[in-house]
Amino acid sequence: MTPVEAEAQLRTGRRQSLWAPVFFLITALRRVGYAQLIFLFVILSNRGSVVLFGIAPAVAAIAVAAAVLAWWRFTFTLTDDSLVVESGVLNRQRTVVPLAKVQSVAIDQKFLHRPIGLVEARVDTAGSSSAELTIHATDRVTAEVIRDIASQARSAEAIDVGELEQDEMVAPVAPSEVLLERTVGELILTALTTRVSAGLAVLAPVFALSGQLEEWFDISLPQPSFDTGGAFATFVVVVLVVAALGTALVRVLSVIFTDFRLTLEHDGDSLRRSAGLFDRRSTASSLTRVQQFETTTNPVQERTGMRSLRLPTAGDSDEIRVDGIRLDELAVVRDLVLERDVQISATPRGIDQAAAFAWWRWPVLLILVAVGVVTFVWSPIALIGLFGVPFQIWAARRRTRRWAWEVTPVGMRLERGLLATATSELALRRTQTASVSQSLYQRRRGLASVTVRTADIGVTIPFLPLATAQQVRDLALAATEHDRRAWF
Amino acid sequence: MNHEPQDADPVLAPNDPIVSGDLPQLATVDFEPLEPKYLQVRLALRIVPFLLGVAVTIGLVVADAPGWSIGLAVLITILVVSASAAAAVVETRRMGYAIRERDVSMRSGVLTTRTASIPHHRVQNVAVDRSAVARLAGLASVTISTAAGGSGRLTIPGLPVETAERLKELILSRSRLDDEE
Repeated sequence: MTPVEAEAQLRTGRRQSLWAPVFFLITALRRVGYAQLIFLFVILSNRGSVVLFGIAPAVAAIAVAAAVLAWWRFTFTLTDDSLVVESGVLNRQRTVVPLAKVQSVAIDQKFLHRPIGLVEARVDTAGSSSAELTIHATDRVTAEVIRDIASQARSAEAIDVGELEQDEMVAPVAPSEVLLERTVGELILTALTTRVSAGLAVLAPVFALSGQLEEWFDISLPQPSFDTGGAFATFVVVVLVVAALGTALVRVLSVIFTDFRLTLEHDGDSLRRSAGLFDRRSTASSLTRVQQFETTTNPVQERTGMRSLRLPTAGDSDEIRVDGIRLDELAVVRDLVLERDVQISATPRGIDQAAAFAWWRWPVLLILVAVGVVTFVWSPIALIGLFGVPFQIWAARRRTRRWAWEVTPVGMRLERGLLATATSELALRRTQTASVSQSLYQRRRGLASVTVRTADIGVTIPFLPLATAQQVRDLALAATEHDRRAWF
Repeated sequence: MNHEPQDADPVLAPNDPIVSGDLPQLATVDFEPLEPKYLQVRLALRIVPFLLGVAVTIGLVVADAPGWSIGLAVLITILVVSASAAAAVVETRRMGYAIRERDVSMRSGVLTTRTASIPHHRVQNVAVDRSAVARLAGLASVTISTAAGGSGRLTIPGLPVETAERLKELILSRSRLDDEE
């Protein structure tokens, strides 16, 4: 089917694919819960064959009939300015989704969609927390036509109200530009350099059950004991090595499952991330809805030239996140998200070094009290905890020194971290609220913190001279006045 | 994709740098204090911890508890009630709001002071609330919400009802005015 044919069919009203009842049934089963169903089946099968061969098939037949009816009664029609959906078997429901209000159309191809070549389309508007409308099974061309028409309607409205420049208008069917595509090798590298400890959450229960494992597999693990020092040391080393390897393996597998063929595309006014081995998930957001540009890098990533990227968006839809992105790809995405006018060229500035004392005094006091109490009630071995004091002081000083911020009349950038570095950048015109606060400690030293919040997320710079904090706040407020383009 | 800088259009490309010396400075603006009656309302609400302390003390006396525990209960009650009353006095004196042509600001806080500002054209919702105690005193509070969610909310308490309603209308009209510009 060509896009023109698909659009013509949409104008006259369409049903989902004939396979849709299967997806309705799966959704219904998921809602009840597979475990509950198996439990119910086991209970019923004990009650005799009448239940098993009489009632169960009857219930199944009713469910299938209901699913087919639901498919028959679910129609969607494209009018000039909206998508009209009629649904409901007993209670008829008519939903009108204005095309200009559609924020995103996510097109997913789940595991079961693959063999039959269909997709699921989720239409999301700004007014609702979940998807306004889900088309469980339809052909890809139809889904893409809905997405493109919604995108055009939104751009046209933005131009009408003067939010977009004519140049930014989306071409009728904007060709999408692939910004990045991850190979399996790159995914493995990403898995091994980011959040490696995530795999530990899966492996920890296995270690906790080691006693059970001995029983099941009839093996005997060396028991930790202070008497047999050698065996205990070997045990610890083996456990650490197995834990490290297992954790890495779990992490690699999970990244390959969720991020297989990770692609970031840009078409017209939106960014779309798709990935997944079995369930191919696609998340899209219009560029105007992205509120901040955040990257993080740890010392290992630093060496591989990769970064992690997070793009928080306004509203309840998913943010866009890419764990392994190269610097050149990052620069392209940054230009798209922050617009070219937020090029921050000022020299980074630091925060007042008084922050270091403010940050280490309470944790150190806490350590001293805890060590004192434990030493008193248990054993002087707790004195070992005193090693935490110099570490805490070192960490606070390092964190203080590494804060770096820049503010220009149009943008703001903040960098901080102890070992890993997190960077947040935002266009000041997206400011929702700006505030200056002073703790008692800051007030005595004439310092203050300034917080600039955009929709759903904020950036705080602590320990600035009061006048500087106030100036940043005034700049943010002025920027919202000065630049009236849409912030969502 | 066109990455070239676009021609500057005075209406559509409002990205000329703002000169920081010309910035309107919020720090030089006088903040409006809250209604003095609001302090009385806050102090009256301290009756709750006071009654709680009295109830505990009476309970201890009835249960024939040792003298030192009754003394401790009385001491804690006095400390909590007086500290929270002092905090209420300090904060209420510090609290104030300022409405400028383009934004609304609120100053608050006891130990940590905070001045938050919302540009009028970011206002999503304005609500006037009246709690039972505030109703008795003829007061109301105005809550201004933005798309930044809970932490992007600003509440101006301790306003006479008419002022609260007027403020609401003013902020709403300013936000509409800004939208139309």
